[in-house]
Amino acid sequence: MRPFTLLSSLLLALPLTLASSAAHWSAIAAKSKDGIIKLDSQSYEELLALDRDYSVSILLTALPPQYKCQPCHVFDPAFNSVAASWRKVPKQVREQHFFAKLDFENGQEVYQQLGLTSAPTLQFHPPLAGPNRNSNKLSVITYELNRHGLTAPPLHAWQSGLTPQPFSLHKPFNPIPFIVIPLGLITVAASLYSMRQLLVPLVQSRIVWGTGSMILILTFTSGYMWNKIKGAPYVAAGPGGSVSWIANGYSNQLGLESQVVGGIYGLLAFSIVALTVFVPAQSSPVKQRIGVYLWLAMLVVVFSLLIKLFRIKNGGYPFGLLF
Amino acid sequence: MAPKTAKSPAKSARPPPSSSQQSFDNSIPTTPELETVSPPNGATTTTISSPSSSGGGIFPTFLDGKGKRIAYPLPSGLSPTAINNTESLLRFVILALICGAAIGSRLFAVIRFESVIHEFDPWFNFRASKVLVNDGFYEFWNWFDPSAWYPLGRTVGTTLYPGLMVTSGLIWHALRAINMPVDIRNVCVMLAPGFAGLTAWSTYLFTAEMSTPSAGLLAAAFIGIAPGYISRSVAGSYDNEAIAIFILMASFYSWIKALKTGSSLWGMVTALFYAWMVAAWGGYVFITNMIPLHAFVLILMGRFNNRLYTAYSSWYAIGTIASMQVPFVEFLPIRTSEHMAALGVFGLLQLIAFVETVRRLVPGKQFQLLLRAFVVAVFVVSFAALVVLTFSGWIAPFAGRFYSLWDTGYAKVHMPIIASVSEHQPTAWPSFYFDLEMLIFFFPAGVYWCFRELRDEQVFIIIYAVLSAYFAGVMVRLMLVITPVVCVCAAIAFSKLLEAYIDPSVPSDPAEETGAAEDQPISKSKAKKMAATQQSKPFSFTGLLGGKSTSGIFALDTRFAVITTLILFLFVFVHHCTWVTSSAYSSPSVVLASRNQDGSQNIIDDFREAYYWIRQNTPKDAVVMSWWDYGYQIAGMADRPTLVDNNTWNNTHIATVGKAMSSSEDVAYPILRKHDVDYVLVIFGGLLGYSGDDINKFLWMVRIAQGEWPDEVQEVNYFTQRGEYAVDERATPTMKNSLMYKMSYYRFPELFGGHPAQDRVRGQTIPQTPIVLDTLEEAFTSENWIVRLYKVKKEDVIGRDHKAVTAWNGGKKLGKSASASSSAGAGVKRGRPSM
Repeated sequence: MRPFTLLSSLLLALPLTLASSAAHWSAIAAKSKDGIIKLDSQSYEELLALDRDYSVSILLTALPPQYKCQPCHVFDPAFNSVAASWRKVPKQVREQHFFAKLDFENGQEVYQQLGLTSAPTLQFHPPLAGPNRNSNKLSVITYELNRHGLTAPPLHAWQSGLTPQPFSLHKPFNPIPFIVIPLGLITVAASLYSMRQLLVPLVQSRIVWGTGSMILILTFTSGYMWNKIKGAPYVAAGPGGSVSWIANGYSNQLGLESQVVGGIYGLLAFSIVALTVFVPAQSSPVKQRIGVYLWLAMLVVVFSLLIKLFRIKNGGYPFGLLF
Repeated sequence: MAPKTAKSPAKSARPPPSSSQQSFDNSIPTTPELETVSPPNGATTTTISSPSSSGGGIFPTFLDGKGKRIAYPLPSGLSPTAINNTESLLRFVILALICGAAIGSRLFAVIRFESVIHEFDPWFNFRASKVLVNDGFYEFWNWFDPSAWYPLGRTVGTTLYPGLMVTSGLIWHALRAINMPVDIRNVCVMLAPGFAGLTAWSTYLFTAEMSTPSAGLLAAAFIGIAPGYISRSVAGSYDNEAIAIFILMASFYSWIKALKTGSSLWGMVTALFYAWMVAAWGGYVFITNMIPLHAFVLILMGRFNNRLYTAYSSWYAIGTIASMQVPFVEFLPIRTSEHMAALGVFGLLQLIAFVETVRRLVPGKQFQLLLRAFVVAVFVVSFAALVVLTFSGWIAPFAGRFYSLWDTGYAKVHMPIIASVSEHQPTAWPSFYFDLEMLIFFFPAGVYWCFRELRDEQVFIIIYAVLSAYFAGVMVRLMLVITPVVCVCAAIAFSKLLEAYIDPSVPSDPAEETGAAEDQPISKSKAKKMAATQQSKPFSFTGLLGGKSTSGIFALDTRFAVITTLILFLFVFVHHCTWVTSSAYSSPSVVLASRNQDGSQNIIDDFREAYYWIRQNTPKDAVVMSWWDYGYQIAGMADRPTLVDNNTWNNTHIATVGKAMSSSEDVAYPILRKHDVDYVLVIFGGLLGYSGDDINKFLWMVRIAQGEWPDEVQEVNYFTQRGEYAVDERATPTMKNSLMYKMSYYRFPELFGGHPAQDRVRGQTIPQTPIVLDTLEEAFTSENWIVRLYKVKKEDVIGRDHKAVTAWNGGKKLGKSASASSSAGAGVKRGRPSM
């Protein structure tokens, strides 16, 4: 039995040694359409052999429709285009780095083993042997999707810094913008010219510009840019399944919240203008008195509400007006 | 004022070009309130008419000298000169009081602690000022600082805005010249409050140009105490912004003045203020673009005239040359995109002026058309040339900081250092309210008034308002830029509202005047509307909607109600501002204060304690490594070389420090040794609950290091599997092995004597396992553990690995903590806080 065991272990070891060689994977990569190695749980282990002298970028994704992974589908073309760009480098360098893809369908064990709960995940595995090996480096580098986004340029920038040699992102030539954009510009210009009778007074109108500026000012001062930059949700789920529209914390807010504040500012500003302009123009003394008290009440009540709202945000605020 | 303005024609979209002269006439400051209603010279008495049921109902109405009905009696027999003089005196006294209030409300920190320089950047400015005062101007100009950015050094003279130091140096010399020898530190501490007083004054002048002097006084009062401005100008906050806002308002005022008078003298004054601004603050780019934008909009509105031409040309020519004298700016005005708008508008103005001149001399319709085409063609060609030059690299595209204002995602990806600063974050609405209180909703009302009148200078206010609202929304720091315009607009709206209800003239009752009104000639549209209202008798509009409007308030009770409410608002505003200043903006951050349980104050002076310890116990050339936030403080207070500081000009160097902090000892030690680091300083708030400590900033160090070495440092490794940033048992091995974690929590659990070691910032329990430091040893820990200093061990004398040394020592002295070795040249001093 002894020789047999030896032989069988040799036989088992043979494909493994073959598998970890760069040439083997290079052949597989060359066969596939876009230079990406399609993996399953077993070949995943083989590709990441401990004596590999090449680096690998592996995209762990879940493309089949039953998983409903929207970001996977958005990220997939970006990854493919970066992988395709890598094929443009000379063969000698190309064999030092591979792009591979593992679908959840074929590699559930890998997902379990890595403790991954979300897809897509892109990981870079540096070489563990050979001239490119660097003991200082991390054993695995994960691409931060939250920070870089799902588009190709940041992915390429990240990838290009890790591959043995930087490469340029190859974009297929798309002629449509070159036709559509000038056409669109001409159409817009022509339609603007034909409607000039209507547009010129509009462009010169003080009311249009005034309203526009006012809306801009109210939007910005109520924290719209914060929502846009930080990607604040419109409303949030409160305790007990209720919908809450006020975010906790002084430097935090929700979409609806800032809209309400913008509305409050607008209402208060309008009350001030009404008290200054509309009410004194009233020629009936009785109506004027009613007007003054109505608008004044509006001003005081809404301002008090604003202070109240601010007190919710900033617990230590000591002042209040009516409430 | 209300009668005049309320009826101003607002129907036409914009005045035709020919009416620009007329609009200029309107812009002459209208005579103040009291004068218009004061009786003519020689008026004798105010007669009290019998209470009439028609006027106010309950209240009696009065008649002034002319027989007009007024709401309350006015003093009579005053000559216009007397009134004028009283007004000027009052204005002067009020303005002086406002300046006093502006200075006084900024002194909280000086009274609570002492005359001390605040925060981080001011420490560098203070140090530079000391060089200027002690070594003279030329030494300062050529100053090379070998102790900063060790081992690179920094050529300070050409990498700073010298305006601030030169200003305080001049003040110091002036005070000495009048035999008042003041310590330069006190000049620096009191500079910001002093300039706040000047800002109030310049805002008064600016607003008086826009509206009335009474609105000007309100604006001065608002800007004097508005927290949005105080946040940057309390005593001790010796930073560029301290003088920049005064210069900003002064240059805007002189620009408006130049535009209104068309005098090149005022244009030159604008240019000089602009040059001062360029020398003082990087935010000068705001003026560089505001004035051209204003000029451009005026051209588009068809309001080009010779006054605009003179004002702009003199400002641009002198201002640009003057600004190029600053070494840090030099040729930027002709080589960067930020300045191209100013240059372009300058060229456009020359073209238009040329065409206007030719048109005046050569009549002929075709020729004019040709000229217009010529202007448009030149504009397009020069714009194309600009684009080509930009793409060919001769003109630098928008610089990082400026560009990140437009493309808000840019900084986060490309400039993590800029994105890491908390004041570069966008502004949430509570910050707007916190900094401006009621002004924030008086602001749009004021902009409404600007649109209603829309003279040349009010166009300026509108552009300024919209632009700065955007900027302030994008960056918290730029709240400073919006605050002046908010104060001006709010003051305009506030004073209009007050004027409407104080104005003593009472409109005549429509019931009495119906007979008279019908006799008067009325416009067609009005007649139609009146006919329409008369037809629908049961209900008829009487206000603006009815087409016949009066202007003025009838009753006294409504006047009283509105004015009382407004005064209440003002009181609340003052209380709000004082509270905000006292509670949020007066902390020097070098010295902290907390309240004991019995309400008494507890001063936490760890920073200065530690820095003075370094100063007295370490060799003069000992290099201290810390995160860049503390670079200026170490240089200023401890006077030791630092690796990185708040100048942040070299990203790689900062990333190196970040890498050393975020790596394990094995990786970090060679970096420390290569940079000759003798001491490593960390800020730790876990014991006291000081949230601005290094563990909270740690992720930025990781991110910045990752930007340079993506394959050696990675942010994900510092988060737990569930994506939490943990320092307790759940912390990842990478986190626990990082130099920062080890230095922060070294011997921390020992303090608690077996009880769970609670980190009071993160609210997590630190594991009891003792942390072992092989390559560092603790040198000093301040009283409340906020500052912790570690000495970097030299290579072992007999060539052993540091780990082996620790193991050897540990084996020899079993039971003793491994790091308590007393071999440190500087002994270990430890303050224990009273728990």
